Amino acid sequence: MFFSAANFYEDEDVLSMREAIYHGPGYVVFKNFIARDIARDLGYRWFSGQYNHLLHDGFIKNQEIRRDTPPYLIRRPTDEDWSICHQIWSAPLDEMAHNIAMESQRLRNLIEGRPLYFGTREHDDLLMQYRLCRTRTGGVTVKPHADFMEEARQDPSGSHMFDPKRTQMTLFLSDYDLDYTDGGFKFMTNDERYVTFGKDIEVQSGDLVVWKYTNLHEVSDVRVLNDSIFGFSRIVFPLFEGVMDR
Amino acid sequence: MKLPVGYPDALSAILDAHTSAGLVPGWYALHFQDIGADLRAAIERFFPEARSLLDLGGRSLPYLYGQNGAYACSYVPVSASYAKAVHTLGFAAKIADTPDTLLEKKADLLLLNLEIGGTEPSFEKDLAARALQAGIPVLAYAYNVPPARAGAPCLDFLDDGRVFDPVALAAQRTMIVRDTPEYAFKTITTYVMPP
Repeated sequence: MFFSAANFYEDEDVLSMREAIYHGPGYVVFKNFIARDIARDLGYRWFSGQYNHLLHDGFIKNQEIRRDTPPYLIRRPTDEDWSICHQIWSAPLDEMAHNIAMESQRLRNLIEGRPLYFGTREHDDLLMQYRLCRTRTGGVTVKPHADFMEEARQDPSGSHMFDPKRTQMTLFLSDYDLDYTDGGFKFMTNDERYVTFGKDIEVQSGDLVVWKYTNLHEVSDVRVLNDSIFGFSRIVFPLFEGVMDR
Repeated sequence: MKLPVGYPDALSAILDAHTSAGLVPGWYALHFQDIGADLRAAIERFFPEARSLLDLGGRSLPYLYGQNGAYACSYVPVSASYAKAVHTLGFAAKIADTPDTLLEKKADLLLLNLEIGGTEPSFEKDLAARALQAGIPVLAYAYNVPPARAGAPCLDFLDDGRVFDPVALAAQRTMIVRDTPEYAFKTITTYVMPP
């Protein structure tokens, strides 16, 4: 029974996730958070381009996202690299993706000690977007940076004051050494080892990694294998401030 | 824990102590030193003679930071996580078996964190009443109480994941203060979550 414990935030599983993220390596991997087939189907649905006509095709600044922002497609840094951005507060284009985003956010809220559905309700201070991202080009796609460490931002999603409880999540939609190799998602652990998920830490499509947002991270050196349309594909879940006030 | 440039080095150990105790490195841990300084200032201002203190739950213990035996402190471990964090930092505080034990020994001052009772406010009210009956004054305070908003949930979470109710907390404080001689009961800063 879901509410069987007096305090489900103190459930052993939640405490061990917190321990791993805040005091252990800085991340936790949920194997098979969604089935591998579902992850790859979802990736194919969106990265084949068959639904691009439903998306606003162009960049929208983080600071300009508001209640009526449509789902949109960013092609950066090249035409091959896509971020398909869905708003959790809008009618879903893809019910499956929307459900997965809601469940992911619920998990993050348990870890961060927030109300279970924080970030998904219009009155919340922060609101979530889920971004299906595909990297198919080499070099540096996302520059090394740490969030909520008071680094300067050109286009912040909100305050970047130091906030060590913040976490980010990466749901893998493709597979290292099948769709891409060499690089991908690189992350500085709490004990300052720079690791690449897929290469140094075993993850496959369908696995969800929750990681400490204040640690250095980047996406770089992706080399596509087998002419895969996925390359390095994943979903990330940024939160935005002030959406309903704009 | 790694900190941004310009933050005090001591904060790193404080955050580590809290996360190792299973707490989220949230508002309370981030403001630990400020909270300690505020509590010490309040003790010195209102009850300067008090040296033997009883704390309910462990969330008052930041006042021990850097004091090296200036106070004798015991606490009732309502929340094991907060007390564990403080012990990790090397503070000397003894566990009290029950609040009664401490009251019999006549602590100089009861530190009462109004949030720590969570959804059981009567516990704090009873303890405050018993302390006052035993001639022990009470210094009560609340941390991190978000302003109530229409349409927003009135229950929120402490960094150990327990629920507290800001509305009940305010009512409870009013009740306690109303029945208490002014000299014996002081409230200090109500911290408000930064925007």
